Amino acid sequence: MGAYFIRRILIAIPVLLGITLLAFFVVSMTPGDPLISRMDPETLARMSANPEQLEAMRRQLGLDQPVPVQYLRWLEGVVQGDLGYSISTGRAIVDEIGPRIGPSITLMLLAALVALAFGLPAGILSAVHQYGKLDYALSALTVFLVSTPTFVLGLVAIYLFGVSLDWLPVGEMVTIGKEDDLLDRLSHYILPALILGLVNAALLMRYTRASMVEALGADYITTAESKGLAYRIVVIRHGLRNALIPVITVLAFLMPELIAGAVVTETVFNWPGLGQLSVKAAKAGDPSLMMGIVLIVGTAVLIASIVADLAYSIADPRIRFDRGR
Amino acid sequence: MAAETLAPAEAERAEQIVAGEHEGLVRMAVRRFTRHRLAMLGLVTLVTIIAIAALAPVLLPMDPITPDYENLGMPPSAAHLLGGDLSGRDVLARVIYGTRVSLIAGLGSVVVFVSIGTAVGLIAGSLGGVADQVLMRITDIFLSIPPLLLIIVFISIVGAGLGSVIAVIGLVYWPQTARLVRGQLLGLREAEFVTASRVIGVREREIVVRHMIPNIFGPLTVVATFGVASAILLEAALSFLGLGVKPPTPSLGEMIASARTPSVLQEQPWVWLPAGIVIALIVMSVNFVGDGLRDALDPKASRRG
Repeated sequence: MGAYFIRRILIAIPVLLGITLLAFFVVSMTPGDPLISRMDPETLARMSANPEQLEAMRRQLGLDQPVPVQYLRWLEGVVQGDLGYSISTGRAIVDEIGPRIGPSITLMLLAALVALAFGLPAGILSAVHQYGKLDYALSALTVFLVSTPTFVLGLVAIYLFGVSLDWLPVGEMVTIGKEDDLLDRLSHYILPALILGLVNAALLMRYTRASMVEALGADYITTAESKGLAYRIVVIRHGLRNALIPVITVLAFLMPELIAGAVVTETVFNWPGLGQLSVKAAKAGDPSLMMGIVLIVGTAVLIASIVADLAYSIADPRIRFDRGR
Repeated sequence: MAAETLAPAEAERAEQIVAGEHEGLVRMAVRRFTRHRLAMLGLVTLVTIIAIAALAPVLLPMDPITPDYENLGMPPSAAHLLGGDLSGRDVLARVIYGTRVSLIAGLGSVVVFVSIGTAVGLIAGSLGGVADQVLMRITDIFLSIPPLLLIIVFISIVGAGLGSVIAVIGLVYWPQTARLVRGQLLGLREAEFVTASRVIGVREREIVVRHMIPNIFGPLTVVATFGVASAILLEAALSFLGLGVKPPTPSLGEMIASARTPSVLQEQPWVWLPAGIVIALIVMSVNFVGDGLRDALDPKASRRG
């Protein structure tokens, strides 16, 4: 276990470095003077009167050095939490990104819960009734959910539940003036979480169904049945337990899907998260802000995939031995 | 083995093979594909949509860009079958020309990423060693950042437009293909028929070109087909977010974005809903065709799920 853990972390290090290289590349695409993305606008304005001070600042940041040195200096800052400044708003990147992490995580966690709540049972039912009517109906629904753009589903949901029936609020996380009202808050969460969740439930259902079909075809299922165990118990105790193992990694694969979906869902529902921020940054042509988002999200996905791999190796000890690359 | 020890059916097949009349791999794949009902339905729908999109200038009297101020936000009528949008442009024309843009974006980006991915996969798989390690770590980096986010990043650098959408989707999606090609290559290296060729003295280069690459085509076609579906959805999402095709070029995603105006969402469904339905229809058809191709070309993969 320990050796596997260490190997997994070692593989992650070059990837993490690659993410920072990519982020550095993005921030170096900032048009104009690189100082704009590195210093807060007020100080920069004050210094602009004094060219010598500007030169000193450039030297301090290593901007007069070759690119590899610039990268290392920049990385040094990043490690200490200095991500620089947004060129479109002039605020520190950390202050732009910080308040948006919470809303994005809230949305993605709720969506993941929705995906699990619908995707797992649907996948199991589909597998147990393989090639039955229920299986076909659920598969058709999956194809529909996977093929329809998230924003179309979101807009239709807004039209049905927000406008026609007027049951639910259709944007933002709270109603202004009702910040302490828990029910109001929850009602804002329902539509975005449901839309993002259902799209991912469709993907999860496909994996669960495939995994479950394979598990139910195994010899130990035949053995369990021939011992005279009730079919329900066989399905749950023997089939499901084994089928769930690969599903653990799928949850980690879903994370990029969740994030991509969140970019669109946050825009449709005007949700103040990182996805919405990334669209704003792209429209404003703000590479420094974009870089901050890439860094945060890339690192988060990397950590999630490590955690998933470790969880997988705990759930299924075989994996540690036969998955050496 | 002598013919008389075989069962009648096998003997018949053996005779066919000797006579050169056996069913070829291609015909077998075609037969499997045509038996897949949903795949055939998807193919027919797709061919119809492509035909309409290709013949748009012949079929339609109006173009998708010139506004007609009498048609400003008007509901469907005899002159404008799907009504007019908020600038008075014909919605039907915009849907059809938008479909063209979607298809071009989908096919274009697949050509880009399948080429890059195949090249990288072949290099990594055949060279092995350090080159393989480096290339695979690069794919890891790409795979650890959500594709849509990476695409938005590159778009923010190169700017919007159909060309950059195709280039950027292509540049972001190649790692999956590279992994697949490399994996197939490594698997084939150990396959019995490759060992057999080696044993009878076929040169290594000829083995790769004549025996291994043709065997990768099947899975690659399947990946490319599903890739078209993803790329069409991505182009639509980018245009919806305002980061895709530039106006006034019609795009289905951009048409749907007009529904973010509450009055359009509530009272003018003809402006955006047709575009949404068409995207779903295209993507669904492509996915069905992909399922059919997978069953036809890569039977080992489909048997599992």
